Amino acid sequence: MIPLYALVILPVLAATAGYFLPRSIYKHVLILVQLVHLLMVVLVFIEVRTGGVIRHYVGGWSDGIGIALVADTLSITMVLLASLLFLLLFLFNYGKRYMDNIFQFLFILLQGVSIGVFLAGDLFHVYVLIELTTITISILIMYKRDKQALYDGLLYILLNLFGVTFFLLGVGFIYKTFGVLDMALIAERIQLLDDTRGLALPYALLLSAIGLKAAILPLFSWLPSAHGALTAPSAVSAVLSGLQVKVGIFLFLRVQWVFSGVFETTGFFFVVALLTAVAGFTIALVHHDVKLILAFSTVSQIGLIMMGLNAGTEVAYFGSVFHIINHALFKALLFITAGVITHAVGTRDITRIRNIAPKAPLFAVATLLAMLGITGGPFFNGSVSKYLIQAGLAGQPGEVLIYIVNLGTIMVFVKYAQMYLPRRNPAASQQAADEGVGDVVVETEPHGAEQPIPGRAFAMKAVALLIGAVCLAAGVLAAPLMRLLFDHDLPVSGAFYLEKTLIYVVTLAIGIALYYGVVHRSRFLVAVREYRFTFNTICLLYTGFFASLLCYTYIFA
Amino acid sequence: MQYITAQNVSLVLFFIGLYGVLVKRNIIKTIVSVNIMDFGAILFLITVNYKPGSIPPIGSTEIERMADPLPQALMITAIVIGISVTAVSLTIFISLFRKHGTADWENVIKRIQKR
Repeated sequence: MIPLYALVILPVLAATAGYFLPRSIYKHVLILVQLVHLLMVVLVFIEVRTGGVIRHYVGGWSDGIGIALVADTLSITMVLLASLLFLLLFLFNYGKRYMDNIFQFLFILLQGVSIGVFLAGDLFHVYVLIELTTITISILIMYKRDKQALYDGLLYILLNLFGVTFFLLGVGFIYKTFGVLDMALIAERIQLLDDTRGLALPYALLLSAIGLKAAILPLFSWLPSAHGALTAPSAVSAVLSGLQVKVGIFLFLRVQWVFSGVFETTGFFFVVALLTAVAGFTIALVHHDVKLILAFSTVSQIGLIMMGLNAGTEVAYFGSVFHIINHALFKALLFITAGVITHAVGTRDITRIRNIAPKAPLFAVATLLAMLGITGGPFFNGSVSKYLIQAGLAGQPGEVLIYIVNLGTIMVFVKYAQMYLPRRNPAASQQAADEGVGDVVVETEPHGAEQPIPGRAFAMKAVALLIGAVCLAAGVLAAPLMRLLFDHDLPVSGAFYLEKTLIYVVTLAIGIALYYGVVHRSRFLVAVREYRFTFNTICLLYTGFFASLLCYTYIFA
Repeated sequence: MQYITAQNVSLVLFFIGLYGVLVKRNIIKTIVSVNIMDFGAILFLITVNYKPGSIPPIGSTEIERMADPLPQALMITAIVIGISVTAVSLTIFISLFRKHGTADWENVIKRIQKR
């Protein structure tokens, strides 16, 4: 039996102990540590699936006093996902020039800390680990230290610090009411309260901070500047989009579970999630920068996941949890291939990236796989999870909304797929320049200027193809995978795939027609692209979100 | 006078900090305001189960008269975290100021967009 805290501290200790080793040795030590870590996670996973929930109190204190680590089906699945994704992305970075010891140290530290958040059983522990991820990520965002990286990093760290003070105050109110911080104990004791109205304040405090982490509607303004940071290494963007927003969603599930039966706020969050999804793909359609498109597409997918979680049916819930995993895979793949492609082409402007297939054939294929995944192409993992979310909403008005959100996603990726088109005529690009779209930063770093580190190209290609293959495999083998991960049977048959394929082709056709017929030509919302929220506005939106959640909880729930 | 309790003071501190974050455009003032909010929350947690007349939980204090030790242990951690995050954000701010020569959120955006 493997103690749970080992999963958290193994990466941290290994990264610290080996810090002064030479760079090339350190790299291989860390890869070895990550392999061991993955093996341990798999062992714990088997233990959880056969023996049930594992609870572990660090330091041998009794219930409610010690720091609790909890591994249940959901959290151990998230840990497995995190461990796998960090390993793959570390391997992807294998030959990168920015992979010095500090970067490797921070990257592995982030792995340990994120896994800690998934395993944490009490609220204060969650607070500590969130703050640690904030510091680590803000330094990783600024890693290449130029242009606006400093602004992005400062915005990220201060906004998260601001949000987390709300969380801390909420923890204070919880402790005042219950005298414990352990989430399972709070969930027990909450049933004993006569008057639960007083809990509306801590509930709103906790959930607004978690909403900031999960990047839902008024709170997502930090996300593009962090995930789409012009200078962040693509592997960092992949981790942020693939995993860090999922930390927010995971905490949302946990806190909703604690307060289940007391506050019924699924209606509120369903509307917020819908608005998030719509806003996400609308803004993604406006932008021209490849990384920003992907970042806003993440916002839209978060909205979709939250819609499923708040649909109130079990099928939609499992669909959403499956979509969390799927989104982590294909968004990570999209970010790393986008990094390679923009590097090869020398620009990040989607209107100027053309004809990538001959330039980076393997990454073009990988991007195609990821795009099929995210748009829900038949046989890909996205199609299964989206179908489940939709099936969970069947009969409700929400079912139509899922079609709209999916259409939006397809339109975004129709736009993204422009990079496969042949080079367009010079007149059109002249026109594009007149419209002022040429303001996206051109990467100045010349490629191949230095001697590349051996194994670089192979590691990148292998990882990209592997994640792409996993996307396809998770779709084809969705039913056994769901039974393995969540013990949930999937209602899938051959007719399902046929029907899905038809719907997909029709939606794709509508998407292409709408994009090239309407969106592509209209100059609508160009102002949106130019507009940037200042720090004060984001904080004002945050406070507004907190106030409306508080009012809603107090009056209706 | 009975309204001036530690809890009320901590909440007032929290909202003073919130005012600063929402209204001030100067980055230094933002960092200070966020810290005030943080300290408000910390003060709230320390005093959460305080009963008048209880003594610090040091050494072999009787359990009945002892103040609740758990928040105190937790808040030491929170204070340390607050200091480190502040240190990191001040470091970033210094580099930002050297690069763009302004301490105003909106001016920073303008100068980035101009380039």
